[in-house]
Amino acid sequence: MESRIQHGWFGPANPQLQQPRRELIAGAPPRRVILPREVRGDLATIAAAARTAGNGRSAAGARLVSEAEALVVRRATTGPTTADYAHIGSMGADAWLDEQLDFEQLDNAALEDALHAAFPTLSLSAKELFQQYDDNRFIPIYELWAATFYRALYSPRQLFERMATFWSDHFSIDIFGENMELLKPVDDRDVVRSHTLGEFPALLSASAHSPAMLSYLTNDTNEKNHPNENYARELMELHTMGADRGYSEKDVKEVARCLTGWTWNGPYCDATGELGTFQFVEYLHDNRTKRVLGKTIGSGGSVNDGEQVLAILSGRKETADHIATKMLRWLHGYEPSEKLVKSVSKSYRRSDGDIRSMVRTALRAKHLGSATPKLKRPFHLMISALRAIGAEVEDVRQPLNRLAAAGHLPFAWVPPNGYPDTAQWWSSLLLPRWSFGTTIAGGDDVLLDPAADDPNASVGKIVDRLDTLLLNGAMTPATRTELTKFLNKRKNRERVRAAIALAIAAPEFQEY
Amino acid sequence: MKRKNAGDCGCDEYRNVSRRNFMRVGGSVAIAAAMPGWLPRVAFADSHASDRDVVVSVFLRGGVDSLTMCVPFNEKQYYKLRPTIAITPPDGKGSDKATALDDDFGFPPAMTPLLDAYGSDDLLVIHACGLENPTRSHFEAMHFMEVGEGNPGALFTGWLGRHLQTTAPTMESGVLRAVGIGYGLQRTLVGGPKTLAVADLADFGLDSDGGSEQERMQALENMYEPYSEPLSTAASNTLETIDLLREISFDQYKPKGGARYPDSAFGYAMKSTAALIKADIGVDAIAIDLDGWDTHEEQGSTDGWMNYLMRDLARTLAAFHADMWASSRSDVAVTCMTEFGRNVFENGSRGTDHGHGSLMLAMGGSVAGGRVLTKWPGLQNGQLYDGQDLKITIDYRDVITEILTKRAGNTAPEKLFPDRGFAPTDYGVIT
Repeated sequence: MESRIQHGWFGPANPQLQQPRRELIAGAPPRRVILPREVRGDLATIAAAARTAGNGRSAAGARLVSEAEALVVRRATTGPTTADYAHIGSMGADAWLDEQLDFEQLDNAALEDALHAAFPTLSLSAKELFQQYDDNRFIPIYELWAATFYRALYSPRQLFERMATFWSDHFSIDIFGENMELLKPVDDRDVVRSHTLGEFPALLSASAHSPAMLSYLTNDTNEKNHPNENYARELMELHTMGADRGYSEKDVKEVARCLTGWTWNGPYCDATGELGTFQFVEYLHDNRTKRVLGKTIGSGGSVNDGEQVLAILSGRKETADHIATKMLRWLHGYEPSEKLVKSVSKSYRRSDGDIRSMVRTALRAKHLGSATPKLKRPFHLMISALRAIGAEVEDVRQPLNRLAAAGHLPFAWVPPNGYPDTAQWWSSLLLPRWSFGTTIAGGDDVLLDPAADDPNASVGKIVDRLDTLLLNGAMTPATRTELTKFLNKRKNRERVRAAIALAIAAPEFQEY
Repeated sequence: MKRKNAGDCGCDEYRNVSRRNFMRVGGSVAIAAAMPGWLPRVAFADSHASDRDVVVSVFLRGGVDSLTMCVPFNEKQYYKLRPTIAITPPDGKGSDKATALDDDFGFPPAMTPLLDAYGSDDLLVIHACGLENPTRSHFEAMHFMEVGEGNPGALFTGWLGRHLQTTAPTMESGVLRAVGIGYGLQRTLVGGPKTLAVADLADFGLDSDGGSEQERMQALENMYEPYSEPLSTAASNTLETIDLLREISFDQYKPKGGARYPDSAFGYAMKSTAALIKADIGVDAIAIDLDGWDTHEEQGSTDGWMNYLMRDLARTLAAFHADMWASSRSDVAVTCMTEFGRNVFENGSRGTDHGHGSLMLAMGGSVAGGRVLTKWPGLQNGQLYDGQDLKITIDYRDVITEILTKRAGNTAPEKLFPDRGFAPTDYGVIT
């Protein structure tokens, strides 16, 4: 019987969680984080570019790189900067992509050092989190949000961060679930980020051994005499093979049996072993023979039954197809061609699930040519705007409030299928994202380069600069007309900022 | 219950002033900036243009313990299996006892604010009701219930969204057909035309930063109008809704009938809903959530968390009833549902774990209320589902289908719940 799990959104465990989420964030520790200049990477050069962009032009903004190259950067980053454009322009799309895939060579030490210094919970084990933050559980959540925000914003490993978001949704865990405040930060570090551009089978295995996942999908109550199929079902349906792809209800039940006894040492458990770590409990395991997807798993296999299941699932063609389709929807377009799915799936099977090989195939410029625009999710929109205009964020609480209002706080999607990646879902929530620009261009905690809102610049120059910075010169005539009209009417610093906010709300900037 | 005829609402003037039409006539920024003054203020009407009900779908998330919310006080097994959390029968000792609704069922103290609505035959309790799928997972159960599919399938839209898709709007020119109160659209409403998620009806608009809202809205409209779908339509819906909601003075709204909404998120949402419905702007459906029913520990049926939640629910619905009925606006159909009930027996922590059968509430001028509608399956051993739970003898889909077909103009019930083999049963939920 499924019993004790109490998801934060449903239960009274933490009455604070009954409040709207934006109030919740307002209660976060006021922490202004001034990250040292060197971690802000190329944003300084953007500010410089902002000063010169549009000089001597009045008809249209400058196009920095070809649209084909721009597309690669837009898909591989959480929003390109002018420096990204300049970089891909100088080295070519394929070399740029290889550089992003070879992420270890991209130096992010300054950023990571600064983040770990500012947010100490990022370095802690689950045991330490339980011991030190049991009564202050909001702090690890907040610090994980902040780190996620700053990494997407500042990291030179842009493709890595974008894929980390992908896997966070693929192996989605609701951070408001019971104990997730303390377990999800560990899952983020040791599961998602450790394998983001690694091997899928290793990523899957790490997730299957993750206390956060075992608890979130209640495999920690999956016992010999009371099997709980919750995790087994999502393991097959969401994490590997995909719904309706070659397995039966019987397979789900058999996989659940294989995973009986896979649990973790919770704060009130008697299990031996370190608090907050994976545990296999032999006496809770169903050791009889099972049959999974036509393969017999002999009796007495103990913990190896589950390991075998994971290997079987990783090796299935359905898994390769499912991951390929989903990855292409993320990186390429909502409806990737069958041919492209086949190519990426083949990359998986040829490389035993090497994620880099799949991403490389998906993002090759020649493949991207057929990609149609996607709607940015709110997090993407927020970060891409900040990156494009070179703004610096000293306090993430206000941006996080905005994300909450737009329904897109990181790691806060309740069901296990992750935030939707569809235009249908997010286009019903336009208003909150229209307000992002106001936060970015008018917020106290977001610093703009003085040149950005200089009211002495000519209207033409201001609009050109926005066209270049935000849109690589692809601003629509309608947007250009409206921004010009707005600034022609009256022009002061406040209205230049409002114009920046409007440009960020423009339809062409909602897409990528 | 008297209803006014269509066309008798005095709101024709407003109907013709959709943002789009207005802008085409006006066409300049200067006029747009002056717009609020030009638009007629929307009055809170004590009448309605349609003989259709406005559907208010309340989802009680977390799994309501139906045996506390509506107590089967003649079941010896109930008292045997719940030694510490059962509600005392009406003829029992002490003050915290049930108030009888009929010979078999009673409300716990926290639900008694609803006795007025029940006594006026406007409130119906449907017991041993729910989603037939055996899942005990919150999100699976909620997903199935909201999508309206008994098993994992291909549907993305919700049953209320599909209802709106297949039903003509009450107001042809209405710009907002449905609202999901919250930060994201409830799955129930996904797919509905002119349907938006609105966290706070009284505060839906661009930041007032710099005082250029009207100018910026006009700019956004001009930027999005020539753009591709789905953004173009989504922007137009959003802008029209901003104008529309701004015309409703939610802050000035005075409930009638001496109604006092609790000072809670749910109370606020229902009060705003009352204002929205009385504004007569063509809203056909509203979805609202009340979270927190996952009472695994220290349930507190008369003095704790569940008592608090039930009181919030009951006082809010009672206020809504008083408010709307006093304005002769009983043409509403409020439904409350939950993803599953809870075990018949209490657990070791004076709480209850995930179960199966639960209950629904239906409130409206056309609801055949004042009774507990049930095909009571009993709580004896052998009568339970899976040996531990209340059985489901009435499918929630039957209740919804009856309400939507009889009171919300639905003529395509097969689209609501398309599972093969589902043929809706009429239980006389509607008079």
